[in-house]
Amino acid sequence: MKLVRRHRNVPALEARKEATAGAATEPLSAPDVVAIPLRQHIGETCEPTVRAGDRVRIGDLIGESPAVVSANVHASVSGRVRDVGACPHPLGGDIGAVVIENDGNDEWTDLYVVPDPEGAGSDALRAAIRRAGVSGMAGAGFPAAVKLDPPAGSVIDTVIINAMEGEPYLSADHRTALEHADAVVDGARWIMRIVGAPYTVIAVESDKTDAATALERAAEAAGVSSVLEVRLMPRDYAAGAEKILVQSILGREIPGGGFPHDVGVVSQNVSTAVAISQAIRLGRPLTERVITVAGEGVQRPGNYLVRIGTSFDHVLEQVGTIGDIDRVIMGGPMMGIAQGDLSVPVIKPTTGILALSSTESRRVPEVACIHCAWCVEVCPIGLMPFFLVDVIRSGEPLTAEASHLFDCFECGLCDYVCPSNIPLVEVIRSGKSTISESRR
Amino acid sequence: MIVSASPHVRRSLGKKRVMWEVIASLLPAAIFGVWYFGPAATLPQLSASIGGAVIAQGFVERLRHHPVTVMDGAPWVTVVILGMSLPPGLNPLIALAGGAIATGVVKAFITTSTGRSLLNPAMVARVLIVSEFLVPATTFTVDGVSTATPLASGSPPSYLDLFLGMRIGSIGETTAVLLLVGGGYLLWRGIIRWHLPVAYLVGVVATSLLLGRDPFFDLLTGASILTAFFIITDPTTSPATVPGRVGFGFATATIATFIRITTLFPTGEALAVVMGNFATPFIDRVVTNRVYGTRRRAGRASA
Ligand code: SF4
Ligand code: SF4
Repeated sequence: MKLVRRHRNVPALEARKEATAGAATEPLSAPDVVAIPLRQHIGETCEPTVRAGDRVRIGDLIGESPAVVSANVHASVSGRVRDVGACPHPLGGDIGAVVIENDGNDEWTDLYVVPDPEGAGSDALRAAIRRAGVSGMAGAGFPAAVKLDPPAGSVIDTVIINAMEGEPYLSADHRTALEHADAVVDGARWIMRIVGAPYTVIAVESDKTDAATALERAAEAAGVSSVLEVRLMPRDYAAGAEKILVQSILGREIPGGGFPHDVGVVSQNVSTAVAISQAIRLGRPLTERVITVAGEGVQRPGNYLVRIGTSFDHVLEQVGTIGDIDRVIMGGPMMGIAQGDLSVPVIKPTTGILALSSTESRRVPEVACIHCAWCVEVCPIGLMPFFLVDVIRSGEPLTAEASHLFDCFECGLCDYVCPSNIPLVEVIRSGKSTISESRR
Repeated sequence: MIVSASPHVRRSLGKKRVMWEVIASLLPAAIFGVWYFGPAATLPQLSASIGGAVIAQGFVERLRHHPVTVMDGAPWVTVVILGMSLPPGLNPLIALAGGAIATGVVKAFITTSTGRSLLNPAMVARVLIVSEFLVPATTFTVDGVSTATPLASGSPPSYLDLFLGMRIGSIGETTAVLLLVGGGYLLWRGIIRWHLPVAYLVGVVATSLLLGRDPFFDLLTGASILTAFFIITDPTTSPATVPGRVGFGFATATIATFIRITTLFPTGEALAVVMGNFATPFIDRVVTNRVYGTRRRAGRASA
């Protein structure tokens, strides 16, 4: 285990993981009804392949798309399709969805396993991943098979498995790395095979020594410790962002608007690596995932294995809620999305559900900027957020190039440290949409 | 339930808190000044300048329809520093007028469109008090305030006396040790970062050496320590990036020390800081960080 040193001025976020990090993953009872959105990833929405009244088993395909950038969707319970309609999407708006009534039998479909995976070529392996509907299980949710298919000519020399979980509260990836270390390492092996990379770095925060040790043991057991390194990274929220991770591990910067493969890297989140391993070894589609449920509003915080399509309501009912809940968030408190309607379903990139009290969220009225430049000091990208906000609010015309607005990945650090409580991210986002609209 | 944009958490170190912590870190030095020079020669001056500045600022902000910031602590830091940089025994009316005029003028005319002062009002006030009311201030100088060379009192003070603050000077600038304690606290809390103070102190030493003087003496006299930790670190009027701050701190120190040593003008620091302040908006446009993944620099973003 090698330790990478911190190289920027980064505030230590209150981790608030005590309540869940030590808790082993528990399965959450499946709901009576699931609503499975036909788009849970970046890319095209799937067409439903079932109709109301059809019987489905767990793992049956219920939506697919001919588009390259897309990911299949599967039933997460066995039962009868009640409806092919719409449901509210946790990322906002409504989305086409397949609603299934759970018969409680948990019958599985007949799994299709790649014959002789060890001998199979990259295309066959990618097809297995695609068939299983694996898409990024943190962040925006990019279809995994697409990410593992870098454009012809790009040479990938390093696979990065991202087990960094800088967001406060969340520990689902930590638990997954610890409890499924073998599958993480196996997933990493397949990824190396598929993209032809000779080396993998699994990046883990330095305080997750239990997970790091488990991963190292798994690598030894699989006989890959010479090509797979577990690297301890500083415990620092921004360090897990793909751009920053690539920079601190390899000293390379992903060009503005570019992709990791532009600098010879393919990166996947650890839970996605597990899903890839399960897709290839077991032929198992992605129908459930581990999420962290936490916050002061939650009675039994922990990590739960939840069927895709389970409503937030059901999850919160199962774990119990207490007190006044100020907001419910999908994901972490820094980049997650506040939900207005709790009938939204858990989707593949849902890392957690947080029910925060108002003391935790600590939103306070904005006051005038004092030019302290703390926002500048913490920005991992090197932007000057207070400048951007000044310009956006003044209504001066903006260009994307001059402003670098689109280089901001909305990590939220500037906003978090701002002593004047200026909603920097919100303003930056509005500036981005102004530019996008003017382009149309 | 609230549906607002991310992030959904926030650090507990807010503006008010920051400002009161800065004031708390100044208090030991201020209290020392009151004790050393005597309450009669210090308290009227402190309260007059503070009162004048606060009232003027609130008044102007109201007139200009800018948010009135008097109560969130920020102006208090400025006015406390203003009070502390006045000579003990100054006519309180002058302190009052100086504080009020300087703050009023800065807040009324020398701000950005959002109401941010471009000059440090405390330093403008100090410059103003010395030039406008030249007679009392220079008379006072002859009495020995703030001059680098202690006059008239026989043997020069020892380093220890200087370090402790047993010397002539402005109310709150003399005690290096207590100012260092306060500055250290701010560094430890992460409220200020080390680049500005270090650049400033290095600048003082460099200038002093260049002029063939004793750098320790120049560090411990005048307002070097106060300026390094509390005045040029004023966020509103100092540059935003590390390289900008290093250049700003060093240049300000050089000018300040040069003025202080080569003239008998007792406000070398104040004059230099005000000059530096004029450069800050320019520095912020030119000296910016490189943006990740590009060769370009972040900057003012208009088309
Ligand atoms: S952190 Fe907030 S107050 Fe400080 S410069 Fe940035 S926007 Fe202004
Ligand atoms: S949200 Fe954007 S501007 Fe703010 S710190 Fe993160 S990347 Fe920088």
